[in-house]
Amino acid sequence: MTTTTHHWPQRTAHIINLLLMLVLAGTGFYIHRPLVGGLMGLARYAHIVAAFVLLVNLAWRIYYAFLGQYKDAREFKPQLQALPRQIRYYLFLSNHEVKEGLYNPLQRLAYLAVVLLIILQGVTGYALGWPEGTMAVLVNALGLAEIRALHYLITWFLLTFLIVHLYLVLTETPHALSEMFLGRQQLLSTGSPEKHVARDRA
Amino acid sequence: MDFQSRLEHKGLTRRDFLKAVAAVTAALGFPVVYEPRIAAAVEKAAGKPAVIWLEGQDCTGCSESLLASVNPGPTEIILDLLSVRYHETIMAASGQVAENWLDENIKQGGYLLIVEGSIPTADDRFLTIGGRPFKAILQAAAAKAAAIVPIGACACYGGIPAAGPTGAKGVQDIIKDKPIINLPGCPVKPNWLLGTVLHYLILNKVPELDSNKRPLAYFGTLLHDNCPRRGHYEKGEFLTDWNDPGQKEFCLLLRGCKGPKTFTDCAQNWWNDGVNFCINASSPCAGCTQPEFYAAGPMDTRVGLAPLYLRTDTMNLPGVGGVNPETVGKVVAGAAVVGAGVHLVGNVLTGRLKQDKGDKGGREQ
Repeated sequence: MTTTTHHWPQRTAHIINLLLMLVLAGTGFYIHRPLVGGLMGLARYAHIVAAFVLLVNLAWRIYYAFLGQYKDAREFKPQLQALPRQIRYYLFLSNHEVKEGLYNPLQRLAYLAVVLLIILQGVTGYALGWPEGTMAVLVNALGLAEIRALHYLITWFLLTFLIVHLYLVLTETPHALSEMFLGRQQLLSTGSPEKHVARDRA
Repeated sequence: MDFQSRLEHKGLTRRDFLKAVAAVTAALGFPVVYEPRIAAAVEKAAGKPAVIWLEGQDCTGCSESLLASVNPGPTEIILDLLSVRYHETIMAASGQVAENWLDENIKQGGYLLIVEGSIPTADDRFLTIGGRPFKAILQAAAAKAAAIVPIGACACYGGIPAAGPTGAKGVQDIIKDKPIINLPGCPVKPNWLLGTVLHYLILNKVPELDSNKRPLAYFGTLLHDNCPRRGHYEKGEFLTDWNDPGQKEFCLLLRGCKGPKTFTDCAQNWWNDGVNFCINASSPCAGCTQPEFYAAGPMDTRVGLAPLYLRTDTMNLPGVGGVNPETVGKVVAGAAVVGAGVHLVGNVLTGRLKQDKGDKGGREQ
């Protein structure tokens, strides 16, 4: 079956996500601990601009997942019953992974969690940037120190996701890496033959 | 003695008085047209509205701060205008006479209740006056008060005593059915009390408050956003060595400044009637107007802003207590790296790495 698992809109959103999250992590760590002087104003500016673009990108991606030409919202539907089997596969207790469609049950949960974490980063970040605005109630309830710590902790969670994501892509589906960034069509079958990938449904 | 002669007695002209009123009007964010009304209210208040001043677990620093404001400051004018019926530190009476006098005034009702210091909740015996628990005295006084103004971090949110074993709480945790205007700070700034009392006298209502019950006029902006050292922050100039003269004007963030987490007007409205304030004197902000200021101790699992000279990056997890997100993050990310390494070994050993995933992946049979 000749197919591409990710279409250009998804690929574009993914690349924008990656670049912006790297910018956000870099500037974020600088803002957290400015060991080298002179860049704070620039770092904050870049951080805020990147954050808003990331949120717009996320909003567009969610819209596209449901209503786009190559909509793929169904690919992310959680499959909790199949989750233990997938975990057994990763623990070498089984040789068969669960893959109905594009993503296995763990992938689905992980990507949904990333969406949630980005939204949480947006909320806490907005509270930190404009503490007197719409987030004033949240700021007063938790205290800015707590919100700042939360924002920083979520950064680490996202970095952890990045590590696991990269490792699993490289070891499980190395061909997906070039496909995701270069868009090369590859001879690729995902799941058993009767299963459909995103493109076939479009 | 009428109001005018009382001013003269203090060595103040009417012009001095109007200047003080103008400063208060501006500080409260009232338009200039309010100035005559405020002056009139103050003159009317020369009829001396009653004030009862209770003191719980504290250091009397707030009283000290108010009584020591520059002489004769606007604060003193207003304190002279009020009839302070009961104040343990400055009243002449003592013993049973003083307590009877307090009871008598409580019976009259309608007074402004100013509370300084926190209330012990772990055990009433931590603080009793004349054998009565302080909490009971506060509840009795609050029942007939027109409004309550807790002053200082202790009376508002528990303050420094909250880090101790007495279960120290602020007034808002004890009294629920009365208007409360929190004026935190360690100690409270005299002009906050002046402005709040004036506002109450003029409009006879509570000023606009945030969700921590602090007047927005004084606690509506972040100190960090108005800091005189903000330029150094933006330029990335941070004080790291106290002994380097070249750094003495630099941003104090790396030396534990809590300015980015603290709502107060300290940067615009300096201490001691405009003489100076912490950051201008090269001390990091301690965050004394925040509810979480000193909330770190056995009785309080919230994350505090202490200690002064250290960056406090910890966060509170329910049931766990203070957690440093940096540690958690490094452990989680480190575990991911180690897990990936172990898994890679497994991948190689089982030969899974060489399999063509596209073909082999499939539903479990």
